[in-house]
Amino acid sequence: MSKNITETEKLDNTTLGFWLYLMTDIMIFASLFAVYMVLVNATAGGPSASELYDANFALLQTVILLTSSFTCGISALMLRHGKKIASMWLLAITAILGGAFLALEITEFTKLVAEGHSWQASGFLSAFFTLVGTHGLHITVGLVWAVSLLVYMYKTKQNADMLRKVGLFALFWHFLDIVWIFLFTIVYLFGVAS
Amino acid sequence: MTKSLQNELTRYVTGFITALVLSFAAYWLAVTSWLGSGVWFAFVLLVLAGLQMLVQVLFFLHLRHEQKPRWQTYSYVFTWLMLLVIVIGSIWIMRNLDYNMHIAPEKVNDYMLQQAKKGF
Repeated sequence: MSKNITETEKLDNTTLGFWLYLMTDIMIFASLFAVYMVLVNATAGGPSASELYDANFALLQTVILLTSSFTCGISALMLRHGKKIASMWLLAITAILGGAFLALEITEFTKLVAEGHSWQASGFLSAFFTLVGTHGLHITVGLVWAVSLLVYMYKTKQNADMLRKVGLFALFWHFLDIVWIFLFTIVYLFGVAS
Repeated sequence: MTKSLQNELTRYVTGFITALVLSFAAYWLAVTSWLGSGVWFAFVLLVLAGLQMLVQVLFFLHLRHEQKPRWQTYSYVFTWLMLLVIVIGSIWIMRNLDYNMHIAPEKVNDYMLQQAKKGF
């Protein structure tokens, strides 16, 4: 009984610690958003936001990431109800959707660079690549995390530790989707409409 | 399927559909430029983004089911406060600088000489 209590306590502390890390991560994104908003008109004679962005492309990315966030939440839910196999399938779908999102982002980046609109072209593009690239880097880390979680889940019987690990990944992934909402709105939609 | 699992699933599906609707609404407003591209457009889009953030926090991150003491909720609200200070403060300061330092590049040298004569 006493072991149980310490275990739930440890679980809460770990989640809270990870949560606080996410809060500091929000501050990184806040600074990058501030930089982007300050520099958005500093195009140095190059193309502006409305000439570069494709709203349909960004919408596709949004739908993919939102769906992956949804399947990720359901995955943690299934594990909480003891359905490990269902949880693993959903986690795999999450990772595949995350990979698709990343592939789209890399496509966009390479296209921009190939057209000569790299991060060296203007203050606006530096801010754009830093902001969106930082989000993409988080997604990449999340993908590695998801795959290693899948290997771990495949090898291990379900236990309280597994529940915590999948729960933390779900927190991270939901957080990335929330950041993307603001990227979608402030970078892409504002850019397309401007 | 147990009752509680079904309830939680319903909650996730509700959150997912609401988030999708909000995304598509924002996209539609931007593409059709139904609200133009001025202050109102920016305001409405930020409200839509804020709503979607709230939906995801409540339905996916389960902040409303947190037990006391609500450390996660407190830290989350505090982070938003700091975020607004950083973002609004940066934009405010940089806009002011931009406005007050409108000197053509070729005149910067004259300006500096003039300041140097005055003594800093």
